[in-house]
Amino acid sequence: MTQSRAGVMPSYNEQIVRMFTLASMFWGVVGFLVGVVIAFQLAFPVLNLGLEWTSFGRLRPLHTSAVIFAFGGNVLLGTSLFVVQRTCRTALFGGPLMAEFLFWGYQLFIVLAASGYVLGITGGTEYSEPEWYTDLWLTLVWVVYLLIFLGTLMKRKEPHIYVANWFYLAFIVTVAMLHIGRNLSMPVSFLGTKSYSLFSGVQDAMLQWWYGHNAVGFFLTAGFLGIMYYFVPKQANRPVYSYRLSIVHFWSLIFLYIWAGPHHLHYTALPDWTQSLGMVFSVMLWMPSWGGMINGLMTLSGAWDKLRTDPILRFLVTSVGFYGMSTFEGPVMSIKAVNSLSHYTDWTIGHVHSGALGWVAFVSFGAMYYLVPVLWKRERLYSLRLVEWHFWIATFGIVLYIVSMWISGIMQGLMWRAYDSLGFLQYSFVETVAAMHPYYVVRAFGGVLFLIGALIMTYNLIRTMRGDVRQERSIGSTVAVAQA
Amino acid sequence: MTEKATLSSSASGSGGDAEHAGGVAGAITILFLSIFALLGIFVTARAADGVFELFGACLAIFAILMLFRVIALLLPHHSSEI
Repeated sequence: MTQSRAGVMPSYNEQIVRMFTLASMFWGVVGFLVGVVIAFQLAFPVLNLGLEWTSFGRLRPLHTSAVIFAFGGNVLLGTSLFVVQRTCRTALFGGPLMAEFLFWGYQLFIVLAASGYVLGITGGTEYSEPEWYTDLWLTLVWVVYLLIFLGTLMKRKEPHIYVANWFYLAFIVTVAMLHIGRNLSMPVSFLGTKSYSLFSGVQDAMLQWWYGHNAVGFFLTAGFLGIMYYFVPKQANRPVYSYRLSIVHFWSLIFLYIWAGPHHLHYTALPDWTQSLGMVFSVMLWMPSWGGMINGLMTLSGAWDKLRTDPILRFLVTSVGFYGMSTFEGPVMSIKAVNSLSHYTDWTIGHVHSGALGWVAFVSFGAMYYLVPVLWKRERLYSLRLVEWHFWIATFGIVLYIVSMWISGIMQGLMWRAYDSLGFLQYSFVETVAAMHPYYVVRAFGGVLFLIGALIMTYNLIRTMRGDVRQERSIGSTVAVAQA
Repeated sequence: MTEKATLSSSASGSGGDAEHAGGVAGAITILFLSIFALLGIFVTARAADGVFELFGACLAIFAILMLFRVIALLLPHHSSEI
């Protein structure tokens, strides 16, 4: 126990946060690397290598699961366990036993899911591809996570539950509900991998996008907003701009998001009123999303100058900017008239990656750069210059990625709907594929840049963990500072 | 922000009132992990396909390694100082 001005302080379990941070670094590089591989496969199909295990169809879910559940999941679990201890001023409920079960149990889930994809075992539903046995295992692990988080909240030494914990709790509870709902299925045999969904037809499709969209809403948004509400104020050394707005942001976001799924099923067999409901709720999401973005950005009121000298803060603020942009674009794309052009095209891929790379990954990088010196008891990062390099290389990569996909996607949609004077389709499908080739090459190059940025971060963080400090000029000045 | 805690923590990372979680919680954990280990071995032996065999093996290895870890956590810290 440590004595402080606040009295006797608890000993936080930081070992588990360190483990999750290391796992995030590892899975991040793996996920980005597989993303680059499949981007090149789309541009140059020969890279499928003629092997079933390395084909795009098997590697694509490996990429999405690696970046969302392995990289993003480890970041969320690690930061949530860090934040809940600090803001509740108490150690984790359940002690190291439960925490380590959670960590290794979650890594086992990742390995089971990933090995299944490569070996051709899939439920066939996007973002919930793992088969029933992996789903059951994740359910068990997730219950342990909920117990740790709730138990820690219940034994808190602070009267107030800080807003970041509300976002984390919404993420944990809703993901549990989505996971169980989507994966209700019947195994063909209790000693085999294959199972079938309890639902079929349009009901199954509706359930899929209720799950799929809210995986975005609660895994990739609510959880990472928890990161934003803790790490942006900490790094800026400023209080949250409006705590009241953060509460409005929380309740409106979680109320509205859960209804938006049907916008993935415009012009399908889903009843028209359901499609319109999904569209309307998606458009209404503008308000809480932008309220949250403004709250994050305005937290820097009076401290904007720090952006010149603090590349970690630049990551965090840019991520909030990307959050605003992608949550503006999403509702636009949910409008049926726009969706008739954008759906099934690369525009969707560009939109997803402006959120995934710009928002989710950047806020994660910011949090990791903040966490590593704190967790490993270092004075500062190995090199802030390398953070700056990472920032610009990754930002340039994202711009290349999303701009190429916007152009490719809109062109693709326009070519699909082009008719000649006799009323025939003007282009065959393969002509649209050929037209997209240069943009696929540009996209893959953008992905390479993003991967290089992640490798720079990994190197920087490992050197920081080892206690090294690079001798370099401080950012924003021309004076050399000897830090070593 | 409501945070008042300092950046202090135990060097080992295992901490607080939960550090000495032993007795009942430990026994329940060991019981469950033993069941997982046996289940994993059973699944590997009886699986209908190769991937399910892999699943059983992973489950058994996970449970056995976690068993060692749990036992290490439950033992008093000075017990390793021979």
